[in-house]
Amino acid sequence: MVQTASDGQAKLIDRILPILTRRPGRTFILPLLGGATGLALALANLFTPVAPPVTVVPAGYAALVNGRPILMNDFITQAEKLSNVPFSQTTVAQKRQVLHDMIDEELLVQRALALDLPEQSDEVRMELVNSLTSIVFAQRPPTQSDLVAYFNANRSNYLGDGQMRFRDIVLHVGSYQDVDQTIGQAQADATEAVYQLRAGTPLDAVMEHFGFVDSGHTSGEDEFDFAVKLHIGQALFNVASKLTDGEISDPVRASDGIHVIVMEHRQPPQPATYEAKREAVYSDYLQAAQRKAEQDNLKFLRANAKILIASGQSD
Amino acid sequence: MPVFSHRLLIALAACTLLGGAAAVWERWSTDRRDNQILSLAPEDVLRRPDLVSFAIAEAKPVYRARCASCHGADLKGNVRTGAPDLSDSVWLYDTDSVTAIERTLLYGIRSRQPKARNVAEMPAFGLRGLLTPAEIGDAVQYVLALSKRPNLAEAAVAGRQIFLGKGMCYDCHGPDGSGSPDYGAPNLTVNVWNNGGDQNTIYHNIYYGLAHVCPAWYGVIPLERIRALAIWLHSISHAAPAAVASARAIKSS
Repeated sequence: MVQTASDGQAKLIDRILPILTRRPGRTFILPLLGGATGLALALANLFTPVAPPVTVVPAGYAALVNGRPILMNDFITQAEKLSNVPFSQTTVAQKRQVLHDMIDEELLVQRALALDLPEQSDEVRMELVNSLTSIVFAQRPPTQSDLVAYFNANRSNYLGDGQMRFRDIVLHVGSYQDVDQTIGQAQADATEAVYQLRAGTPLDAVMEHFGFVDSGHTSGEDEFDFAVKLHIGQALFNVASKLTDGEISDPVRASDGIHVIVMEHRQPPQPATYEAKREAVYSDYLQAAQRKAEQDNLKFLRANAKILIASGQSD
Repeated sequence: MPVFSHRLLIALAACTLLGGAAAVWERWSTDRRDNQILSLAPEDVLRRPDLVSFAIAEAKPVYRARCASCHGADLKGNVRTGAPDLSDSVWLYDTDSVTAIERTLLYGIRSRQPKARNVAEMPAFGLRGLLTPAEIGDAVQYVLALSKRPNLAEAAVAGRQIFLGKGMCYDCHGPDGSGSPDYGAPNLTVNVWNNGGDQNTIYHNIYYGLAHVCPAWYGVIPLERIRALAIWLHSISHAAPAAVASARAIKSS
């Protein structure tokens, strides 16, 4: 039996028709739902307020530059500042010039932001960081007790400069005087020299016997600590500053040989009083407070930031 | 019964309509006048009594909500916090124009806002060791002399040397002590004291310095309310004769 196309269509209709005719309402439900949804969307769109393009400068503003306002008060203040007369007495030309300049500045600022200048210029980055720091730093005026407490906690920062007069002799290891001398031998000689000096042997005799020479870093007169530090370096200064009058240091190994320091006169740094250092204490206190404010701000920013660090790197 | 209900409904609807219309009218009228006080130059608003009255009515609730906690509900300030008396005719910063008052309201004083008034502060002369206690004592006597109050003449002469020399007080307060509105340095000759004017307080303020803060209200209070506040404060200060303000200050100090 051959099945014709018309037979197939008839069968299809026979299958669909009962479905459509079983619930007559269903035929309209879906189209109605679709229509209603579309209508609702259209209405919602129609009645949703859309920000209209700004064509009028709102009251209270002197201009809008790409939507960013220039406040009338800023304009008036600037005009008065530049013309040195009340705003009502400024000329039209002066007002025009001021507004022109303010618009120019706003345009340049906007351009700088568009170019992401903070990302491009180290100077701008630094300026932004400094500006933020000064804005964040809430400068609560310190009280006397704040300052005294800070001074007491940092007394070592407020010592007066000490002075010293000393001899710095050095044994150049393997010098022309004894080219075969090893470091170990030189160390032993220096230890023996120190022993003899402490026993009362004159310095010149010891120097001659062991081959010490004057380092040439001392003036032979009283010198302030800061000057000594510059002349002989931090390591030797640390040794020298602990010696008292007539005391002789242990041998100190340095890049140019083995040094021995003979202290002739030592005046240790005197602790300064709060009264003598209050200006410095005040300034240091504010700096410390500012550093703390910076740290607190960074702590807050880090806690609220999403920072990803590449593998192999650390923060 | 149905007829009564019907009439009641009509009456209710009419009342609702009238009330709605009144509310819309009030809102429209307020917006129009807000727009007017902002559109005119600040000083020009003062020439429109209707707008000044409107501004005063608008400003008072804002003052109560934002300013009264420091400056007091009566605008008389607070010597303990250094909040100035806003009812007198003495201003710290700038000229006493509406624009200047508005600027202080917009950006504040030492408010951390970049445009805030923050040129200088009163240094802590004693704390920093810039002046000795004795020198501060002399300076206090000179300040008393400047404001024409009883003082120790000999100490005041020495204080004058401090004022014009080592203390460099003249740099902000001017050689004659008349202050500088650019720095917010008070006029020391008018006997108006934001922080109290007795000897001990003056000594304390020279010793520890001063750096009070007024918040910036731009972006917090609508622009038209800030303008209204400025107009109100200006009108108050100009209603108060300087002599009255001075007398009040003497009384309070």
